Amino acid sequence: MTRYIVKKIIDMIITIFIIVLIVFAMFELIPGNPARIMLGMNASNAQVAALEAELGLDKSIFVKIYTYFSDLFNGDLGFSFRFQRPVIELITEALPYTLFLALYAFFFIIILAIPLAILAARKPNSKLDNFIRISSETCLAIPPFFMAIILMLIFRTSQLALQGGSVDFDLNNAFQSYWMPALAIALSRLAMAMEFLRDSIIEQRESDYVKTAIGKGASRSRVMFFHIFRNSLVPFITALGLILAEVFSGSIIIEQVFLIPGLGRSLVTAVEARDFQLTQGIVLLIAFIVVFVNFCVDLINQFIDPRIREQNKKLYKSRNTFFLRMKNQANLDSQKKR
Amino acid sequence: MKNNILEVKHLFVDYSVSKQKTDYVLRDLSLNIVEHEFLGLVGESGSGKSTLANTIAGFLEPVEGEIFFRRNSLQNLSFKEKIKTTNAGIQMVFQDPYDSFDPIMTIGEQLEEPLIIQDKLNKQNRKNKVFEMLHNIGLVEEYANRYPRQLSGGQLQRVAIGSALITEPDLLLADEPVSSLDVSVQAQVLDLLQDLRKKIGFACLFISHDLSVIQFLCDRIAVLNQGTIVEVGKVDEIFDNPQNPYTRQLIEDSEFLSI
Repeated sequence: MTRYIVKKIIDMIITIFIIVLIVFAMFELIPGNPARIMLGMNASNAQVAALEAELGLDKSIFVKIYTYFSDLFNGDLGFSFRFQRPVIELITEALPYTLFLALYAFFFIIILAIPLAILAARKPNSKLDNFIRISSETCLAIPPFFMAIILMLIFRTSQLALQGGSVDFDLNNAFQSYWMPALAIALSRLAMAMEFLRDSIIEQRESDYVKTAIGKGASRSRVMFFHIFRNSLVPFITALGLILAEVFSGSIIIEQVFLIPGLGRSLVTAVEARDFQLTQGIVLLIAFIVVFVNFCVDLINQFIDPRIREQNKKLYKSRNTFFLRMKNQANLDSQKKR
Repeated sequence: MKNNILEVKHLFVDYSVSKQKTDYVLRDLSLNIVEHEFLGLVGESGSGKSTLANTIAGFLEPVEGEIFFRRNSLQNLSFKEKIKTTNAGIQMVFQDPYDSFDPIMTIGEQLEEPLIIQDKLNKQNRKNKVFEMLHNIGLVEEYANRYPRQLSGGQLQRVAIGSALITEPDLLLADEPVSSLDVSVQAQVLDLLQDLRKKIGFACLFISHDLSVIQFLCDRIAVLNQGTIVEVGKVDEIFDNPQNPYTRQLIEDSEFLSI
């Protein structure tokens, strides 16, 4: 298990390194002079040159990569020209809103998807199953921002939206203020989680081991939760990992609708103001979160399913055997040469 | 005279969804099994062997007919009531040993589960019983901590039999338990069933399409053709003097294959 975690951490570091490189390259490849774009077309050449020097744009690509990575390593994501503050400060302020909104939406997805999937799977293709699936698929077809507007119309209020953005972030208040944007995101992502779990439950229920458990006299709830549900968790958790990543991206638009001062709102403001450093910082952070979520999903799956543990063990074993063979072959070759 | 442990009377089972159109898989099927008797059920694929086992176990509902277990009728009972009436006295072993086990539970946990459900023993006694059963099925105690995928097909089928017999049921429904195993492993599993029969004492409906297996293990044989029992009798009598043309054909085919 420890070896697996270490391997996964190394994988995560490599992935993050590649992401940082891509984000860096992306902003390097933007056509035109970033300093000119940031200052606008009316800025003088001297002003542009001064900004270029300040941002280090006049230096060679290798120096720029080195500076970028060393700054990042020291927790320095640059300086926002739009807000005239360090990017890290702005992100630290905005992050709790987005994090809370995403986790709140994720909570809604879990508490809605599990009972709905169990209900739908009870009698596949029944009226109830079809109703649940059609409803959730309809929600999937509606973009989160439009879902938010529908919810506002249903509950005949926009008060909550304004409240969400105007108050300081505190947990007690947040649960009350953020339920609507969280539900809007959750409803649009619910279908995927629900259908993954439903299909998995139906598949597991047909297995002989379920019949064996029933024949042993296990109660319906024991069969469902102790056998079927636990075995259905791996595909469900994998789907949840993907959904959580989508929930973060979904919150970008929702924050605009509900005026929530989170990362999404900051990102839109940064893009509008051509604030490259802030944009870069937020894009990186969202990518880190997605990678970290996937890392957690892998660990949870490894923990709950012995088949995955065994598979990884075999993989290590075969790899070790392969390296051992290579080593032995190398020794033999060197002996022959002697 | 031994008592009937199972009596099936005029059983009709139908898979068709439409109420107007009936397509019986089992038609007017009757049989009985007495205490500690091994009854072999043979027939070609699709003759209804597994359907009969699943109906007796309660996974399928008959359209007509009655099933009696220890003289108690199981008709019109919910699955829960059936389990209560039989006191989990009917257990089943399936053809595919890999599919018969919960993949995320250890062998020890799966052997212990029926004892937990019955709730008659404390934890220590349950553990002892699991180790005793592992010993009975020829596996060492360390196997209790292994997962199903870490065992071979033959070992898993032995565990499946152990798991079915750990609560000492009166009737074991064995649905082709050796047909997916290779010949040497088949012999081990059949020997195990013979051993456990002597040690524990239970009746068995042993389903197979392999007549030699039935001949080795069973006391009586019932021949099933297109959902109906066409011949039933002692194994030697049936093999020496089959009355029904279908039985004769089955025996001839089996002799031809064994040459």
